[in-house]
Amino acid sequence: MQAQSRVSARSQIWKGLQPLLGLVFIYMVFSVASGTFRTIDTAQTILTQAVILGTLAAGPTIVLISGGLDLSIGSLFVLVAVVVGLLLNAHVPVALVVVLSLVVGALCGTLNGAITVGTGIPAFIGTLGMMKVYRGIAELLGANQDMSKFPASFQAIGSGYLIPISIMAVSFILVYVFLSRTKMGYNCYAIGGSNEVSRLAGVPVKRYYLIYYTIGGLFAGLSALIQASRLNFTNSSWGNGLELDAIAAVIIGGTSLSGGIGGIGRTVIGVLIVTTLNTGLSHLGVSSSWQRISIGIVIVLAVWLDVVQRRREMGA
Amino acid sequence: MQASADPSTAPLVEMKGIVKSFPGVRALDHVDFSLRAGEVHMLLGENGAGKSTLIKVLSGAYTRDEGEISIRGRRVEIHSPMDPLELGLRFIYQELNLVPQLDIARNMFLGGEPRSLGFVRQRELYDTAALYLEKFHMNLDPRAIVGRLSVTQQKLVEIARALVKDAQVLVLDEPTDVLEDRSRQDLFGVINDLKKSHNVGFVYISHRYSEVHQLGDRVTILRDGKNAGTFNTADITLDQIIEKMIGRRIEAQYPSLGPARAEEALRIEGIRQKEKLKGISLKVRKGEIVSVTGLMGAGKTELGRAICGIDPCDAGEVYVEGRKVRFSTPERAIQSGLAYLTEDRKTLGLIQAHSIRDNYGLPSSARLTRFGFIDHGAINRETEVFMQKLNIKAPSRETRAGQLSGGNQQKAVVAKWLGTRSRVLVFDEPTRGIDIRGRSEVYALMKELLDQGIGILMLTSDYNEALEMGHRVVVMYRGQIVREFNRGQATEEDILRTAIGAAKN
Repeated sequence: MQAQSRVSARSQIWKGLQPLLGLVFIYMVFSVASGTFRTIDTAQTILTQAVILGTLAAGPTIVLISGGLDLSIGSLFVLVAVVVGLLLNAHVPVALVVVLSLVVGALCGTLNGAITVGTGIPAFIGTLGMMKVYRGIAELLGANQDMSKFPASFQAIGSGYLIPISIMAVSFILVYVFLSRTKMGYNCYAIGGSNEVSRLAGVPVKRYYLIYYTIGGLFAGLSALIQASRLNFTNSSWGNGLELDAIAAVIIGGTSLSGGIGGIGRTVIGVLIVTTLNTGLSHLGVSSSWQRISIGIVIVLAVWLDVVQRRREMGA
Repeated sequence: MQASADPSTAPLVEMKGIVKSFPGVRALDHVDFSLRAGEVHMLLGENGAGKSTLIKVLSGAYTRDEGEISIRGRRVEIHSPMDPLELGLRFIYQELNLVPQLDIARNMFLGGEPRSLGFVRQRELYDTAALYLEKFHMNLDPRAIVGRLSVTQQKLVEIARALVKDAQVLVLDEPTDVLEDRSRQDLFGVINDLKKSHNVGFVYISHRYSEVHQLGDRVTILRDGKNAGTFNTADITLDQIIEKMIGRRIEAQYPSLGPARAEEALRIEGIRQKEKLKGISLKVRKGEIVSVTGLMGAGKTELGRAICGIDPCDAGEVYVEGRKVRFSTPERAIQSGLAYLTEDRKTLGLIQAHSIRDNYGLPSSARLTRFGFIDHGAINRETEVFMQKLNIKAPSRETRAGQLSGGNQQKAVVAKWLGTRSRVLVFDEPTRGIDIRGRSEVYALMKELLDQGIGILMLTSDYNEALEMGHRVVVMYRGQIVREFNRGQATEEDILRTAIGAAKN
């Protein structure tokens, strides 16, 4: 029994390393295939490209580990982007715009949590509904508005490499600390593992879900803020399907869709796999349709690998 | 077909010398069992006596190691769950096995709908269903949605469904456990009718021993995997049945318990919860185990869950070491020093996919948090300490709970709750599903807890355990405490008799 468990501990580590090895493999393939890929410049581009998806994906990492799901973050993203544009058009001070947009994102997240926890509607349905609602509101607010040419101090947030990459890095570190060091984050795994065991153990499950969804909304807001700043305009048609891109990146990294297992480190790798694939294929002149197809295949392969291994573990 | 049972013809079902072993246990040891046409044959025995194993051998869920099975005098091999169905055997389990969203007729013919060219012949479906329901004297509308029926009616639908497929043998596993008195009589009426008019043979498993004489023609008693006798119900009294059931068994080793202390650990007063708990009051002192026992459905688990804030109750008060507890949520109960150790370790006690460490840390994480930050070092240290103290056999604290044996899982659950600094442990079925060695270890551990001044409320349906491990034994019957025995004052027979409501105070 002892030997058997040691083997399984080793296989756990091996499983955790797989996405990282996948990333290294993809990077090396592109490095061989394209001469221009293997440069510091490209690496910087990949990281910058990863910022929007990365900061957004920090949210679903927490929500999925807790056993929840939020499909509305793509719509929430565009809603915050529109709010940012309107506020800036109204000459609200930049610092206040930043704070307000994060608050809007967070509150919408809280509302999502309240809907799923309070009513008992499955998260899939509840947040699917809110996805429509937020997008509709964004369209109403943003209709016939020219939201562009923002003040220089706002543009600074997302321009260049250094600031956006730092924001993403700090977000990841904060989520890491939250998940591994705080009670609320630590209990997130238990709640995802079993709602009822956690409740019996005295964890305030409902209250915590509110917080997890709130954090998810907060990161959607942050991500929208960076995008608006980077592109120097906002548009109410943004963010279609972005929630699924974020969830895909989290899953590719190895966080479980059924909850209880995962981590922000895995999401970082998942996001980098998706971004490297996109950037690399662009370098090779592959069309965006083929990029999409390859991401789709990677999702299926990654989860299939996970399922196969889990089944083998059960059999052992 | 004959109108009544004739013992000279071959029995419907004959099982001879059935042996079935699991690693470490011989669950069935040369068991003989037979069922005649047109009889109700009661199958009795305590938990673990082999009733369900015997039925599973017949249903094809298990393959026997030795022995023969004959159906209507012909030897058969049963290897898969499909085999007995083709032989006209049907099994109706405790849990309902119907599609609640569909109506009665569609449930009755599920998978065998009358069809032409792939289309279901709707009219015929409903007409045939109505015909059968009438034939079985069941007053039910074939278009009624099953989910809206009462539990009794749903049971009847299950029986009807079995009989539509020309079943000659019906095996009913504790069918009345969920039923009220009046509905039980309805069900008995249908069974009596069917055995006479359709010559169906019934195997009937029950924990309600009063049903033996109400319904049964014959009774077979299993004990420790052996047939302790088959009798005509007219020839045996309830007392004799109970004696046969208990006999003498190989038991786990019980430690000798010291005297309880004088101080009170737990006091509950007048706990009420709808129909399930009708005003329960009791006291547990420090260093004392109070066993609460009774049949399934008597309210033991409900009591444990209510006082630990898991399910709401309508009235009542709980005191831990003299202080009143607001037991509205598990969180509160835990803070007050109460812990509920669930009978269902697999799904409610431990998160199987998580490590021993993380399972340990779950309820204690509130205590081990400073300014919002978890003290992982402390969780690691405490886990190690408890693993050593409780002798949890695992390669490391990172071993996943699902990989532990039953006894070690129970120890991990105990560790988890000791970590919350609990003063009172409510143990629900502490040794269910644990082998004899594991049991002895759990008992030894309970005794150690007593020495530390912890009070234990033990909810158990194992009467021997209740007697041997309790300073006092409280017997519940239908949501009420009917009697309390002091240690050494009662025998298992006394308890069983009280538990089935046969003995008046």
